[in-house]
Amino acid sequence: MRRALVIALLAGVLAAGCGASGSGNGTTTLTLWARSDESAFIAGVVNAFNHSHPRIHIKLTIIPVNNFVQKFGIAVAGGSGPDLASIDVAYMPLFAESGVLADLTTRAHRLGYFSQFDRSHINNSTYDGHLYGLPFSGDASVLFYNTALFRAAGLNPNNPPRTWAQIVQDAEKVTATGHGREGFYFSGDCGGCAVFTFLPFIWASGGNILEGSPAAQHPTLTEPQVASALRFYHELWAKHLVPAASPSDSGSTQFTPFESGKVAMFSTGGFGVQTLHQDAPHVPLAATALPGENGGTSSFAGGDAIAIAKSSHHQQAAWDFIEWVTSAAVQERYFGDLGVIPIRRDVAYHDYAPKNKIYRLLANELYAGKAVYSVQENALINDATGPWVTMLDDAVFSGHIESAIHTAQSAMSSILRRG
Amino acid sequence: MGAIAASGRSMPRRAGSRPRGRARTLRRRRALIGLLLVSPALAFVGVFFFVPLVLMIWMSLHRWPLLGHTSWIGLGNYAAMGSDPVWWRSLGFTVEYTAIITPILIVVGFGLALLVRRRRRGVGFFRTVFFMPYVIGFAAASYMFVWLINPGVGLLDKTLQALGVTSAPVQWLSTRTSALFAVVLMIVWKTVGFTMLLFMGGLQGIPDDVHEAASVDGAGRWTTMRRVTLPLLRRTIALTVILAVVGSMLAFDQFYIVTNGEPANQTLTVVYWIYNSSFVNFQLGYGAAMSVVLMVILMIITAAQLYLLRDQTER
Repeated sequence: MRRALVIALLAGVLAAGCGASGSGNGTTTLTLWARSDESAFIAGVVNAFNHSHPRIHIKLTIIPVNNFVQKFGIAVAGGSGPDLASIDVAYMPLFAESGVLADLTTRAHRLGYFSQFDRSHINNSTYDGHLYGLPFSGDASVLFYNTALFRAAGLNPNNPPRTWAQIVQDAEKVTATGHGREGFYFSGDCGGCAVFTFLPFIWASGGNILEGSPAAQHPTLTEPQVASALRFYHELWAKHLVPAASPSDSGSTQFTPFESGKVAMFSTGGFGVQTLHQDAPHVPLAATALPGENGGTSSFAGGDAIAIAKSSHHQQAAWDFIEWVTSAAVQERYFGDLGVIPIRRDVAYHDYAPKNKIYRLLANELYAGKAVYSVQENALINDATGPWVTMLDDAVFSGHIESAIHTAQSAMSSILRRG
Repeated sequence: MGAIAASGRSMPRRAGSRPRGRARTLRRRRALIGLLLVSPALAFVGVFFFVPLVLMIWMSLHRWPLLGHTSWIGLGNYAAMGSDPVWWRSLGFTVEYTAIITPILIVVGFGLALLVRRRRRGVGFFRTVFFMPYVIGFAAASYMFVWLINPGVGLLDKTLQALGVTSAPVQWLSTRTSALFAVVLMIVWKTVGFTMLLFMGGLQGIPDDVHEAASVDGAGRWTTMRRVTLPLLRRTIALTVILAVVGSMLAFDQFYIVTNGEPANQTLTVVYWIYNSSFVNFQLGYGAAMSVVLMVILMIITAAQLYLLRDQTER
């Protein structure tokens, strides 16, 4: 007993000495880093935890989304990272592989509801058979459409497009009604947006962009579905069915055209529902799954995982937070009620999906969705200088589809080979 | 004795002249003292240049993520550069930027030096004004320019519109040409004072009687400039060209802050790409490999410049 006390005191002194996280008068202080995309709900989650847990205090730091990987990576490499981090699942393979996160495998499997977690999330947080993060918040990409514009163009809003040809046709009809209306919108200079909303078109048609085990991955951009999908977007652009702002939109103004009420179709995720309801309540909203070339559907299963830094001195307190935040009551009240898709199937289908049609679609798409698994996700896809963004730019806006694919295929191979 | 010591000093390497024992001890002691005196400088160069250089070359032969384990991949990083379009594009852009800015810096710097060379009333004021921007850091100067050329609140657009040159704010950073132009303008303003200072030193080093002799021989201003002044400035020109080229090939801060590589990363320099690879994509090994190649390129360029601009008398 006394021994434990001494150790606890020593640990406290050490922690205070490190300055990373102090523990005084019986309260353990934990630091939690999250990306700015989560600012809508995460403060509420943290406040609720702090209220119900007098002995643990979580200090939340919001990091601008475009700097998260860099800031978190450099901080943990230098030993000054937070205790807890909410990490975009797309980046989980990188951090899981690098050995800076605590191994949660044993503790996670003891949770009674482990089997309820989204499989794609679990897969992205796993490296070499070990689990380094638990699902935290869910998201899925779907195609939103403006039912008023559909009606104005003589289209049936209850019969949304189910193939690419139908998307093009519907976009043409809406654009033809004039008044500056346009059929379709996407951010042309945003790798993260495109992997979320464009890649599912390729998946739904049976194609993919990466193959192989994490250690020996290679790009598969030469598959015919990639060229078809690029041709599909190029057709939308070349037929002037997409607002001219698209090529220079790096994601920061992605909602603006659809919010103006003049764009008929726009794909985004669950977080978009909140943004659209808040910023553009006058736009009548409906959603459908992202279709493949000739049918089929797919979606990017996104969102965040919650992980503990290996260097944290408060592993147990951090785990207490994870257990609390993945509990059914919390997922329902602080995620589902705010429109964030709960990452537990039981909660998602019991409380969230019944609320409305769009939520049901989002839940279905998340639990059927896929994600990109690569330790080089940032360099391959999100990096604005990277091959994914460059390929979209050259192929979609300039129409150089074959050469854009060829260049990106060789650039992606180069990234995966070097280090 | 004295003669031997003197010969030891002035002809230390002459073969065949074998100094006797005492002289040899003396020489050895002198060498030892000399070594002792330069050792701080050697240690400095060793710790802050040689060791990092060796480490960088070592890193470039590995897969070296910022986090996690490193593994040996030999020349893999160098081979990958061949199929990395961003590397080639950034190298091309950096060379283009250097080729644009170096002549501007030399010509404008030389012109300013001619203007403020002679002592006359008020010349000190102009020398100070021209040189002042040089003491501002690149980052501070870049941020000043970011706001000056900002389409919404920038002074530049407001002035152009007030003068009737433009009717609407100009998006300076939206095209490659205008973004490059904005950076070139900023760098010329910021660094031309230093080029001017070097040329002033060079011009003041030319004795007046050389110019007098030229005018006695009937040479006009232009002939004097071409035949007398410029040849005598050869060393200064070589120095300014080398400094401008090396500085421009290593450009980073100004593009990082002013253009952010935009539009669509068409204004990405080599050092910017090295930074992105290392600290955004965490591929430190690849960043190191590109740094090694950039260093070799700079060594070749500088050696070529030194050869081309060497003194006539040394030929």
